Amino acid sequence: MQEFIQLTVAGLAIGSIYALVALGFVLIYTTVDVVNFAQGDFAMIGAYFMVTCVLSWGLPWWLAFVISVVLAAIAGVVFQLLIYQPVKNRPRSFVPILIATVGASIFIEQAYLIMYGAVPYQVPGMFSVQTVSLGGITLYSQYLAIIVITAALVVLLSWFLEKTKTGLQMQATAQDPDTAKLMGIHTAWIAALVFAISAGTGGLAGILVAPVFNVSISMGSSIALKAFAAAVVGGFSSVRGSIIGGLIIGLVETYGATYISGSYRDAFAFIVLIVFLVFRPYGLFGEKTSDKV
Amino acid sequence: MLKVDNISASYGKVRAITDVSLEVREGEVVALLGVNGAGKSTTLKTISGLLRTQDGSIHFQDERIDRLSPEKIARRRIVHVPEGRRLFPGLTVRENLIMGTSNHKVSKVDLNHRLDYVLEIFPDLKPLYSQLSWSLSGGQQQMVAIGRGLMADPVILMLDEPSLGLAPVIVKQVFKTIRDINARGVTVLLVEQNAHLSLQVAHRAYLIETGRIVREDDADTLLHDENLQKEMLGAGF
Repeated sequence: MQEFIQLTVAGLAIGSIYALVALGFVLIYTTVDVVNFAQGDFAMIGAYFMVTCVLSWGLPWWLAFVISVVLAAIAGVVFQLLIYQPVKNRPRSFVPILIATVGASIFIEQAYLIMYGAVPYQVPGMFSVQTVSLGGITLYSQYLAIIVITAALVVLLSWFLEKTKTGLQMQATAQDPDTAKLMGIHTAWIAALVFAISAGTGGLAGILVAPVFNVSISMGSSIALKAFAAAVVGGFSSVRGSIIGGLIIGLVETYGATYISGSYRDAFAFIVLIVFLVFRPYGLFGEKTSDKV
Repeated sequence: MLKVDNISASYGKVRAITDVSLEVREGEVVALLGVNGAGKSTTLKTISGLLRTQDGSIHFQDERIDRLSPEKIARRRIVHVPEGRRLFPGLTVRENLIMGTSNHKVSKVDLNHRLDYVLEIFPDLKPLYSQLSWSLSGGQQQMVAIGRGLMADPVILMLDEPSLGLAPVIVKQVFKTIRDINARGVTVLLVEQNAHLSLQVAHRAYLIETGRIVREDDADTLLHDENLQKEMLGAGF
């Protein structure tokens, strides 16, 4: 039983990381109708900001954490200005934007390879103690931190989206951008905000997972693939779906790696993805739609 | 107040309106009438900035606005209630109404006054406040759409086919509401196919055919014009 609880906590923690990145996928997709294939790179960017703040500048963890999340969010706005804005009005803009985000992802990873090298960095976790004991069960403290911070962020983000005027404007822009403009909503500013939030949550995921996986150039893309699967499981249009999708992928991956085979750890996420694509392609919370041919 | 001078606009290579001119004065209800595809909605889209003009100019309160973005035009309190209601389906009635105030900063007290004002005009919306807008009937959606327009504190309210797809009894209510709104001092530019009811609430009207204005006259004159009645028989006369 103890092992099962430990695995569940680990699965929820890893799932939270996927959920945070999936959240970014979903926010950008629902608001500006773009699948951002560089989403995982925001996790890497956040983690490398943490490396610089903690290891190079020697800042305290909390200060480094805040600075890194903010810088990741700013990187999202820069990304929106340099990658999304120039191609968004092209004819059949879905394809140019998609290719632009893939190209940007490759560029970002290579730029970081030049700046930081190929050797992974190890950054400290939130707590100096590695483990805590709760009710006789020993748990990894960073996992608990990941779960608590993700839960807090989801509550905060839900409040922002549902209770503030700016959050409602984001939803309105996602649902009908032309009518949003007629209401006086500055949709370009909303797009920038969405990229900032998505990059911020992605950066947060990278920072939180850095003590577990170490910081490397490839960390973003491996997280992004699982997060993409999580977003599909959740329906790709629902914040709630992306969180639950992330947690499902995290739990299935952790249980599968332990109880079936660790060699197939990465395969479990994609088995879940394939099962959903075959039997429920619109995900858990997506809407069933069809186009007339 | 609003002066449209010889504007033309196209969708791609297809010309939708040519040399359209019209004027709306403060306090008026002006109707733009025509059959489906005549260019009525296109004219409104060019005024609200959703569609760029190719020629001509649009002035509002002596300021040229035809190169401004839709957001900036909305901030000048030129409020466009689009065809088909276009509510935000995933937002509640109250949230849709609040979105109407996105064109200017509004205090909480002012927001509540504005919501009360809309409820005074559309008391039937009160019990629907927390309902998602996609679940409303066509008539209820139209009330929310006009209410959302009023939340923007419009100097001019442009209504695009507010009677479209509604039951006759609801259509009459909608036109009564337009008269009430105008009586409260809001200038209205009304685009409609239902010429008979439109001319009953309008002061003046323009007729548009295949993208060109073909006639301008007082609403009363047009209402009693037998030739027009014959021409517009298929369009609600």
